[in-house]
Amino acid sequence: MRFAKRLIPVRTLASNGRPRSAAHAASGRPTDDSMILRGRAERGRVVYVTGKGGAGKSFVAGLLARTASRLGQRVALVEMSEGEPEGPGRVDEDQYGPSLITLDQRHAMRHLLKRLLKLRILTNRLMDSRTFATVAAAAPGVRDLLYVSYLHDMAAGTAGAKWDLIVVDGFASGHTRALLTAPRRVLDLVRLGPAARLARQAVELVEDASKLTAVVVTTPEELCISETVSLLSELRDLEVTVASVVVNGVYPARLNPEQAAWLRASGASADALLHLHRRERQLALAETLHAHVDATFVLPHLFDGHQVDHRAAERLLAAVLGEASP
Amino acid sequence: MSSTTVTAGMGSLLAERQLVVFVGEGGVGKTSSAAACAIAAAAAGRRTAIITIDPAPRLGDALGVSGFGEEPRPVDLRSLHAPTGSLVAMRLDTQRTFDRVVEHLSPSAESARAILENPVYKTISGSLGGSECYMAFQRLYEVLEHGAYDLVVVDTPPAVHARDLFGAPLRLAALLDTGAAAILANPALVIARASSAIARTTAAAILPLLERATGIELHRQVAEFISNFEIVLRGLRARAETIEQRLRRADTAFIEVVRPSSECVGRAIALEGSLSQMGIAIDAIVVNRVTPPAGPDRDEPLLTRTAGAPPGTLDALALMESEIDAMRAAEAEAVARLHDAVRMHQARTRIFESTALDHDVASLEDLSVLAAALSGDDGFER
Repeated sequence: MRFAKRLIPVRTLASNGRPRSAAHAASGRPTDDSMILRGRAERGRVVYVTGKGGAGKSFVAGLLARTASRLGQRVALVEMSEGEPEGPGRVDEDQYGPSLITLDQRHAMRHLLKRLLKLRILTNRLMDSRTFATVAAAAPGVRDLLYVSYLHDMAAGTAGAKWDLIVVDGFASGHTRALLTAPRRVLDLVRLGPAARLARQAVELVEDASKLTAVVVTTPEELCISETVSLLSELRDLEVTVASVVVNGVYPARLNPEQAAWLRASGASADALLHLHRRERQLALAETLHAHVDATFVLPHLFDGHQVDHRAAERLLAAVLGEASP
Repeated sequence: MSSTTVTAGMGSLLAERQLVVFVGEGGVGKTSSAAACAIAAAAAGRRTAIITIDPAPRLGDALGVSGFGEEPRPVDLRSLHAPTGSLVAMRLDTQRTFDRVVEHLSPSAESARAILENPVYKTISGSLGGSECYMAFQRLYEVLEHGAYDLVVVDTPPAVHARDLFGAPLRLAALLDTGAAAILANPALVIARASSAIARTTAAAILPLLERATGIELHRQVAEFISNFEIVLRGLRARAETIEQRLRRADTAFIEVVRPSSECVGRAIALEGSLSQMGIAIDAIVVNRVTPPAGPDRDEPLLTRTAGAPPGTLDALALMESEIDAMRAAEAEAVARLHDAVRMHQARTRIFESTALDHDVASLEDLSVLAAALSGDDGFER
């Protein structure tokens, strides 16, 4: 995978909203093998991270966001999880961190109504949470359309700051389908007017690989893998491009073939055999994904709660962004 | 202080109780544990039924519920032992259960049909968070009314908070009770209520937009739905109360299933805490997929054990052993946290660790191994 080497523009926003200097941007510690990724000045890209609950979706989203930010991109990490809390928390708040944004449905609605109706004053009473909850429950496509439209506006730079990369810590696999089909469903019902315009832009965002790609996170376990296969098929039907499937938590390889053979024959260590056996089963399960996707990216199991090393994180980011480069 | 109990393992729970409800988040082995316990109870002579939610394909096959709809089917246990009891298994069909409930609780066939064909109903019954669990309990209600079982084992959908398990009736009621629903039923109300010209203009602009965006005559359908569903809702709430009473009886046991990771334990503690707050105690916690303890081979130094091994083997094995040890330490820490948190409000909750299976259940054989471990032969209690 090759990348154009270009530093992004000097003015970037730190997570506190204040601009960073060129020196700070440059000190984002790029690595030796020229992984300085070009940011797009006109429009941000959306990377939507999904996967079965508990697979490490939030972890991977945070890792991508943090890595891109460290490399100097203007990054927003948008949380869309509802209900189940996911992992141990996300991003280390450091000076060069990405901006953390929770997509609040009322905020999204207010933003879009302002855009649609061009009214600056909006009565909160009309959009109180119960009204919204009732509308959303009765017509769930409305809320999902608002979310996708808001992401579109973030990417276009019309919803606040400008971003190079918008990483979405998305819904678990079950809900993602509903979210990404909402714009098309609305467009099928409504052809004209501001709602249709909104829906059309949202459909374009979802179906255009240069604007939005998905990352699916899975563990190397049976149930998760089989749900991932279903999800991949659904995403294909929706014409969503999957940039990468991340298999999270594979035991690292510690033995060469000769050593492994010796271990099996001698049985010298039950624990090492357990380690080896688990890795083999994980790889076999991960292998079944290759019938459905070209390549997977393996993240190692972190035994001591260590961090994923920077180079691996940058390779992951490259895999995610590189797949969809025009 | 844990109280002394008659038998080790969960055998006593399964022998004494009439209802056992399994709770926990997704992916922890809840359904497998529930099925294993149902098998253990059947083996011990009880007429047992199990309600499953969404079993994985091979587990569903092992129980004989894959692709057979929601009717109870007997599970053939002859390959395992000479069972003195029996087991039937069924799989929840949320939509059909909800439809049946609507039919039973509607005042007339016409009003039932009007509800079932209403797009608002279709959306709510499918997607309202908690309707699946709510329907699992409605199915339980049906099974208790019509079946004659010594023990009913209930699997529940993934939950991280008590409201995931019990909140649906309240949510449904809130949905219909608020002024919001009334507004949707009669949009003119909003305009009349709005206090300023700008608000009225906004309201007048938004509502048609919402209607066009949803593509349905929202206000008419909501109005129809609300008027028909009101009675059904009252019946649902009455039933929910009956079920909750039944679940609080002493002959019901709640068992929480968890995996020994720190995130999972955190969520399990939250679930246990929220249930405790509503007065429901967890009787037992099953910690699944614990890494087995170190074996006697570790007593011998690696240097001795790797005599004659290819170069570099000793270092590699040392690393692997230390990684497995790190795994054990992390699991032990998570389980200790679980103990501490649970002991704070439930002295009697028993915590079982199961090292029985390292993989997903794929057969009746696997289930019986798990059953033996959980009912006391191999499982150990802390």
